[in-house]
Amino acid sequence: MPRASARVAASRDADGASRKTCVVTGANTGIGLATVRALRASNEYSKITLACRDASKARRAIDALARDGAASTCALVFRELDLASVASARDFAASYLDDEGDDGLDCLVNNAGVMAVPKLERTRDGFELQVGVNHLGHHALTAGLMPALAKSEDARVICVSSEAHRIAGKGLAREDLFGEKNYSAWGQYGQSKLANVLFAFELARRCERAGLGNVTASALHPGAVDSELGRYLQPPDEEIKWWQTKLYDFIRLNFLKTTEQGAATSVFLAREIARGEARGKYYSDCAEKTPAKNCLDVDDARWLWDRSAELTGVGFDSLL
Amino acid sequence: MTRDDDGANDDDDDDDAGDDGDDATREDGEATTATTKKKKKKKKKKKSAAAKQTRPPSTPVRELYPGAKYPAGEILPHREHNLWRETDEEKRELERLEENLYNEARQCAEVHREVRQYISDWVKPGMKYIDVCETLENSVRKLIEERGLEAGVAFPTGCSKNHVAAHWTPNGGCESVIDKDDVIKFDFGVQVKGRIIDCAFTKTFNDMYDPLLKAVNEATETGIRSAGIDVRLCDIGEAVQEVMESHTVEIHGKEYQVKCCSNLNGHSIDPYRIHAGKSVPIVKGGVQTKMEEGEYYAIETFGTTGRGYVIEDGECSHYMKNFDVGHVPLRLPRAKQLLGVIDRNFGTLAFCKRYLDRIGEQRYSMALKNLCDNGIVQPYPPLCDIKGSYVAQYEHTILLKPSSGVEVLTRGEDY
Repeated sequence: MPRASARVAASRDADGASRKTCVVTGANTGIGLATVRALRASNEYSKITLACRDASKARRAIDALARDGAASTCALVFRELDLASVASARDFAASYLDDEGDDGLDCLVNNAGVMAVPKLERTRDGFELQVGVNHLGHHALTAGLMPALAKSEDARVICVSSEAHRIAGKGLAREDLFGEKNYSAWGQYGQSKLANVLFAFELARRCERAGLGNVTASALHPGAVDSELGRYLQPPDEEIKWWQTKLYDFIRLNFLKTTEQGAATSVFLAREIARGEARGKYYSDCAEKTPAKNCLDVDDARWLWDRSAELTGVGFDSLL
Repeated sequence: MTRDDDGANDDDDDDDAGDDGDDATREDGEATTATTKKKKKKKKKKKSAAAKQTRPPSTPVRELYPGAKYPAGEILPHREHNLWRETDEEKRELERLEENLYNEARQCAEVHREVRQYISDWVKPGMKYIDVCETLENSVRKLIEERGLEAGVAFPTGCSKNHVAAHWTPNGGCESVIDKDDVIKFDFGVQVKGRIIDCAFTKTFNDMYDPLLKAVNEATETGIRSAGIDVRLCDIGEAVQEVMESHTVEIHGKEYQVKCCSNLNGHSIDPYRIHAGKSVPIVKGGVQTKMEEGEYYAIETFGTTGRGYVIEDGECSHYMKNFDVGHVPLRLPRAKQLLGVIDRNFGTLAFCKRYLDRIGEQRYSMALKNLCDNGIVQPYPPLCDIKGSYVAQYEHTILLKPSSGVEVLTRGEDY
């Protein structure tokens, strides 16, 4: 009489309903929303938490999903999270652990992000906005949720990075992480996405070393997707010219992925791939891909890990 | 080591020759507890001196082995860093102290060997699953001389077929019949005083499946050979996967690479607790917990032509009371009463609906559901790979002895 891993045994109630849980950041729009839609439709999760900044947008997303989606036993809940604030990430994790920590957390999709912010803007803690939100916020969030992840039989931490990590061709800018000396919108985006990959790989290494074989961390490139991420590409105070709309539509229809296509790799890593298979790897189009050489720099990864803990004041107690 | 004062005249292949002084003191200690039991055994022994196993098996193994000394399984010696255990006096003594318990486990293993040998020869396409299971279970009950929770069947007879990997046994009134192309995993257990033997094999009637069976058998053997004191569980999983996935098989004209069912595990066994603390994975990436001295493990591997991942599906037949459930107040009188029945008949051993029917329970489904909902009883629904795939299984129970090595308790001539 074999023992089934708790993942299966505990993932279903007596009446066949699933008991897995998932948190998706930035889930009210774009790839995040599509990810939630797909995970919900799979009926593998009993509860998906949409971690977003704006309650009203999140509620609208939940209503829309409930209306359009197929019948599902999966509950969707909203919990407020502003990744531009370490305190908010910490509060989110603490309240999550209080309310649902006992059941563990089976999947964390670090999906939220900002791209190409034209001017140097800062988060509430004084970090540059792109690195602050895309990396440091998620660092604090993942650290906070680690106790719940460790409880799951098969926990997945999925970091949505991007091919844009290749912009950071000279590797991690240790001296000038926030681009304060020489700010460039895309340069900082590249830095933040490189940091995402480094973080995922370092997390995978540390979990393995700490004997947490149940936690799998991986990074991915969703593709160039037609989503709200491009919100900063159009300067806000300029009028949109008629040819800009035409050009954008042309690009969108011909070159950009839909959000569903963009979410496919996240969904693949969340449920289709076997346990532990994706540990410390980078995926694109549902297939493993070799990231830029800078991502494999163990020293940088370790430095970033320690520096992030220092900056955010949130560390991983169980992973030294 | 009790055989000396049994007066049995077996050809004493005493491997402890040379430490007679030790023996003497120990025998004194055992004498008081052992004499009463032994007198009884002697009488029976004389009555059936030339007992032989019948077909179907019905002679208790106790009568087949005068002196109630059962054959040991295959012993795999320790590997280099643990070789000191073989000569370490303290470890040897530890092992001698446990010898009586080992003997009980070996008795279960002998029952398993005899029953499975018969079943494997006898079972044919066209028979009903339910009849095969009942013959098998009745044989076990006779051979072990069932007496309540003291000795008997340890868990329901698994006879999952084809894409169902485990935890399937017919419920009462099941009409399904064995087909000539079925791949059946016979997984049954025997227990004496809570010491559970868990062992399984795969039966087919078509040699098309032989490569699959061979792959799984080799993988299980690899798992057994990698096991030992201080071995990390993840290393066993990795070794098993390596061997399993090196095989390709052709079934119904289509070629498959054999995959491990990644979410099925072997497990450590404690008294009256089939799934004790540790899981033995059959794929890489497991936990680094180590095996320890004195533990019993069920090493089992599952090879499949499907996706290599099982989910719960189909009508549930297996149930087991959770081991560490405290007192839970129940509102339903019928559930309370059923819980009493489960406590008296199965304790924390696994059971199936047929076993409840057998002891005369009727109309228990609501009460059983209530017990499940309250977390007292855990249902174990069938675990299935994708439809159309074939899953095979081999399993042995091993014992990590302090001194002499790993004993494969259930080793037989068949596998």
